Formats: sequence, structure tokens, C-alpha cells
Amino acid sequence: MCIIYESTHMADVIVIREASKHFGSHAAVDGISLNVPSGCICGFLGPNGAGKTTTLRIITGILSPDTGTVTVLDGREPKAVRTRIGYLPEENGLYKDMRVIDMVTYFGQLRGLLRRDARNRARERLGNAGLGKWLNAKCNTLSKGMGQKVQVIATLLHDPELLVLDEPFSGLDPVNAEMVLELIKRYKREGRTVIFSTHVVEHAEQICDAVVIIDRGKLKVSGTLGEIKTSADRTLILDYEGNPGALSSLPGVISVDDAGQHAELRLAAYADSQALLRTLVERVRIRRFDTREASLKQIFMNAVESTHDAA
Amino acid sequence: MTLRNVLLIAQRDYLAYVGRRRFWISLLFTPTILLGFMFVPVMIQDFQTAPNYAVEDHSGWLLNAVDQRIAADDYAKLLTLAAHTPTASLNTLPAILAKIAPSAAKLDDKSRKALALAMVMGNPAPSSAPKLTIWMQRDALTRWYRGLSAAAASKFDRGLAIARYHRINTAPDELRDAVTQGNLFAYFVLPADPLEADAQFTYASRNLTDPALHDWFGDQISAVVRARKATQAGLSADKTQWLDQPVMFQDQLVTKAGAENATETEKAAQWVPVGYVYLLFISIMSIAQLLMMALIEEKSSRIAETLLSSVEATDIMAGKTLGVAAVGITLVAGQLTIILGVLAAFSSALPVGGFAYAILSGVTAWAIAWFIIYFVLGFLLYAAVLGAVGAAVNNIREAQPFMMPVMIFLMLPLILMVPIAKDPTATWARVLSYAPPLTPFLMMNRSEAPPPIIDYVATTALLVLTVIIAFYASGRIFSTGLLNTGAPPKLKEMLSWIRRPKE
Repeated sequence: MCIIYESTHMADVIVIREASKHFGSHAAVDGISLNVPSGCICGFLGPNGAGKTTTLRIITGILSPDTGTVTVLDGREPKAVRTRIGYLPEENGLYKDMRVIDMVTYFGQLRGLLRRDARNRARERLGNAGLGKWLNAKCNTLSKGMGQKVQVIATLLHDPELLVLDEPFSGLDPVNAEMVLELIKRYKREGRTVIFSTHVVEHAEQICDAVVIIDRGKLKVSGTLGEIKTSADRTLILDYEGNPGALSSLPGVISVDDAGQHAELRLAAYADSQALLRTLVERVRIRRFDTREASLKQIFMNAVESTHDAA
Repeated sequence: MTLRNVLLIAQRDYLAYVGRRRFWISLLFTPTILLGFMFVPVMIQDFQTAPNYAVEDHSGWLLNAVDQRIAADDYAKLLTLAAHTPTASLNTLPAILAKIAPSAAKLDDKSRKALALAMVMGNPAPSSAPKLTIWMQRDALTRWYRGLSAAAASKFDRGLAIARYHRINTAPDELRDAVTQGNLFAYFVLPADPLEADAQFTYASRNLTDPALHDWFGDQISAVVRARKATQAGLSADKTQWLDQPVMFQDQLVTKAGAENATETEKAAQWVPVGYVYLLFISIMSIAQLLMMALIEEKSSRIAETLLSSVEATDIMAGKTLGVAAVGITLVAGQLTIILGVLAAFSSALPVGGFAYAILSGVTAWAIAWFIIYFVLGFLLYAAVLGAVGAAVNNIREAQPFMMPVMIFLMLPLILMVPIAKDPTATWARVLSYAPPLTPFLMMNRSEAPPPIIDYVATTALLVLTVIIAFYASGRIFSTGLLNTGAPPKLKEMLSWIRRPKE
């Protein structure tokens, strides 16, 4: 089991225990356990086919796990709290023949709003998004960017407590990508929980409180960004003068990439850099000693590569 | 399942389809085609002038005799028309027909024909009162008839010879030119001695593919020549008529209430079940296909997953089935309303419309009730199958292999509908009607017999059970298939989805 926050002051919005989902003989999700606390932004990272979408579908109640349990929002089954979740799938569309206001109202109604409330909210939010002139236009007359805005507004119309976004930045131009980023941040400020999957590690690093890395259906890494980076391997950049053989058998060093007088050493999470410095000073003349925290991208690559190497 | 969500989805789909131009085109298309088949030939007749023909009679007597016979046929038709015109509508008839109508109504067909012949031949006055009343008007009737144009005659009865064909006098040496120049459709040459065994009769026309004039005038000549030969052989006019009389069956319709003489409308109504089958086929096939297309569209427009995150898969399937069914019912009801409305409006003006309207008006509430039941159950059965297909595939091309077996089941009742209409009590028809995919069609096909109550109950129970099983299986395929966006599944794979745990 992996717990993102060892939290005592925040309730868990999502609790997954040993969840698995198979399609035929293929395990899309394989024994994942996870807690996501309330009010955080949690990014799901993983290569294509890693199981991110299946996990998000399980969280939203679209799919049920074959084994294990999933509870969402106050320990309820996902299907029981659908109207409190907002889900924006990676591939989503609009009813082409419907008017914009009608379509947004319709999805609001399906998520539990009364028709009048849904219509009023739709009118207000579409207006705020600069789509006031397009209320009565057919959806097939909208540009791609406007369509994406409409989809986001429809997803959020019922003010969900938990927002689940599957690859929300996929195919967006920089303006719309920024809009989604701002939206996620606003939800966080309002104390709601946002989970999203993405290929763009920079987005996760920029806004996520917590990160989950999944590969081949298995959970590889999870935790707050700080926790993950602290527990991840670090890199030591070393410029030196002396015998290259002096860099062998160093305590806490996993690997050495030595170019002669310049080397990059991969340090284990437990490595004591001060002790390492003392050892190196005894062996070579040091011109540069620079330890660097691993980037999320490196952590991601290491996690994924280790799975593929093992395979 | 949540009723609110089901109704919301059904309402959206209903309004979306009814609001499309395609729906209104479909609504008008079938009635237009059907009414077109009924009315266009009749309307074309209105614009067609009666074809001209000429007769070169070398016998000196045959043409006069034929004319008398033709006039007698027309008189009989006019008497029948007058007899059948309701009292309230008598003012629509010419004065002479209105005058004799009450007396004509008191005679049967046979008496009217005999009286018409007697009036034309100048036979002595009949003794019975109604016949005598008409007889007294024979001069006035003859004057009116001779002054009647083809166009005016066709307003009363298109079957009148005077309305159908127009004879013009043409000099014998001009006949061929008249035909080639289009002034004559055809001409007949009658021999000097028509009673000779090898007498040569000639029919000449530029168009030998339309045999109507040839057959009609030939029949008239044959009858007159036959009668004259009989007279020459020493037979009396009565005996000749007796010999000439064909055997006539009185068609009776046997029901549980007994056997009653069948009207033309009742005889035609025996074919109404064929109409039920065809209507069921058209409505079920088109509406179930509409459901499949709606689901494919939902998948291709990437809305399915958004919907699934909001509501249960069963809500989507039930809502879509309900919405599309409502579209279909609106479509069929609208089409029937248009057809019946047009037929009712033009029933008096166009006999074929009135005839069709009379048949449709004779459809019983019992038949309509079963039609609705079988329509709903049949639609649900095929909707379950095509709905599952629509959810599992990504486009119509991928759906084709799955459509084939469904279409075979749908086409089979069409192939069988005429044989069953001819023999609705056949054992094979009864056995096949117990096959649930065929039940709606075959039971309606047999409805005129009608089938025993046990057949209604047992086949319907079996059909309901099949619909429940089909929906259970379809629901499983639906919930998995709706998220399947990769390669289309094989049939075996789709069947394996049924056994998967419910999502």
C-alpha cells in the first residue's frame, strides 16, 4: 500500500486497496493501493498503456475493479457519488447538432442539477468564458478551442468536489493549456481535490502536491513531490584531478559515469554526501563537488526504465 | 437504473432526432411513395385523353350490335353508380341519374344488367315497378348518354367505355395515315361475314404493347358473334344468353359468426396482414438501426465516456432505446396519419383512395392492440441486438458483419408473408411463429385467420422471455463495448463480454 500523505488533518478523498482490472489476459491495473487526501492536486504519470486511464475510470466509477476496493469522497463507492465527481475524459466530444446552452445544461442535469439551475449556471459560466454570443449556436459551429472550453464548463457545471482529468493538456494550444492550469490551481485554492493524468512531467512538477507514477498496471512511485525527490537517487557532479580508479567502491554510489576529470555519480537516497566528500578528498584533488536533487523527469524515467529493464 | 436519467437521455435523443431535417424527410418519404403508387397512375389517367380508334365494318351489322352491347354495359354501370350514391349526395349526380337512383337502388346487379340490355335493345317494358320507372326514362337517359363527352363521363365512372375509348369515323383509305400521324391509336377491320369459321378480323396499331383496347373491343365482338352464331343455330335469345353466361361464384367470408357474402373491401382486407408485416418490418428495421447508428455516433463523437461518468450504462441503454423508440413511434404514427388523412380527403375524388381508406378503416382495435404489442416487443428484441452491436463497433462498416444474420431474420418474414397470408392456418406457419425473432411478424401475418389464443399467449410469453435475456446480454456487451475504441471485437469476444462481471 502506498500512502501519499501520512495525514492526520486531512481526510482521504480516494482510497484504493489492491485494485486490479484485467481485460482478457492483460492486467491493465495490477494490485494498486493508494490514498489521495482531500484538497490536493495529484498527478498520475506513466507511459502509454501504463494503466492511468483505467485507474481514473475506476476512480470515477466507469469501471469496477475485478479485485480490491475503491472508495471515494467520504468512503463511498464511486458510482454512489458520481454527481460529486467531475470527469473530463482524454477523448471527449460534443453533440454536434445541439445548441451550446442545451448541451451544457443537459450534462449539468445528468450530474444532478435541476434544469433551471443548470441552465442559469450554464448561461453565466459560458458568458464568463467569453462564449456569451455562442449560447444558441450549434456545437458543430464552434472552433476547437471554444469546444474545449465548453467541455470543461460542462464538466464543472455541478461544482464537483473531486475533479478527475484524463490527459487534460493533450492537444491543447498554449492558451487553452494555461486555462486548464489556472482552473486546476483555482480548484486547489477552493479546497477541492484534483487528480489528472499527463505525459507532460513539467506540468506535474509545476502544480502537483503529489505524484503517482504507474507503469504496466503497477504503482511504481507515489508521494508528495518533496517526499519523492528526497527518497529518490541524487546526482553528484564531480570535477577532479587524479587517478580515475579512485572513484570505484565509494559508499552510497550506485553508478559512475566517468569521463576523466569530470564524472557524474548516481547517489543512493541514503548516501551521506559529507562522508563521500571526505572520502574523495583523501583520494583525489577536487575542483567541483555539486550534489543535485533528481528531477521529476529523472525519477519518472528511472521508475519506468527499471520496469522495462526487469521485463 | 435511475428513471430520471433514463428520461433525460430519452428526451435528449428524441428531440435531437425529431429536430433533424432527416426525420422530416423520412416522415414524408414513405407516405409520398405509397400515395404516389396509388394516385399517380390515376392522376396520369386524368391527363390522358381517351385513345381514338376507328372501325371498318364490312359486315354492315356487327358494329351496330357491338355498339348496343357497349351501351348496355355503360347503362348498367350508370344504374349501379346511381344505386350506390347515398341520398344526401344525389345532388352531385346529373339530373337524369338522380331521378332514377331510388329505383335503381331497389334492384340487384343482375336485374340492373338485364334492364340496361332491355333498354338498349328496345325490348318491351318490364312489369315490375322499379324497372318500369327507369324504363320510362330510357329516352332521356339515351339522349344524355349520347351527348356525354369522355372527360365528363370519366367524372362519374372511369370504367365507362365512353370514358375509356373514343371512336371516330375515318375513311377506310385514310386509316393507315391516321395511325402513323397519331390521330388514331388503332383501327379494327371487321370481315364481311363474321360468322364464317375462318373469318379474318384485323387490329392495327403503332403500339401493340398496350392490349387494353384490343382485348376490350375483341371481347365485345366475340360476345356478339357468339350470340349471332347461336341464333343461327336455332337457339332462342334466352338460351343464347343462358349459354353465354359464365359461372359466377358468390364469395363468402367464413367467421365464427357464420358465413357471409364478402364485399370487395372485405376480400381485399384479407391482405391487410401483409400490410402489418411490411409495416412491422419497415418500422422495426429502421428504428432498431437508428438506435445502432445513435450509439455509433455517440462513440465516434467521444461522448460515451463522458456519459458513462455521469450515469449507469444501463441508464444510457434504456434511455437511448426509449428515445429512439419514441422517435420511431412518432415516425410511424405520423406516416399513418398522413396516409389515412390523404386517403380520407381524396376518397370521394379518387376511387382507389376510397377503397384503400375503407380497408384501413376496417382494421380492428384487437389487431391494432396486438400490432402495438408486437411492435414494442419486436423493436426491443432487435434493439437489444443492434444496440449491443452499435456499442461494440466504431463505425457502420465494422457493424456490417454483425448486421448480416440480423437482416436474415428480418427478411424471412417478408419472404413468407404472401404464402402465410394465403394459408394462415398452415402448421409450418404456426411452428415458425414460435421462433421469437419471427413471432411479431408471423403472428400478425396470421391475424386474419385468427390464431388460437394459446398461440398469442405462448408466443408472446416466449418473446418476452427472449427480450429479457437479450437485454441482459446486450447490457453486458453494451457497458464493455461502449469504452472499446480499438479494433472491432470478434463475435466470440463479444459473447465473452456477457460472462464478465458487471461494471
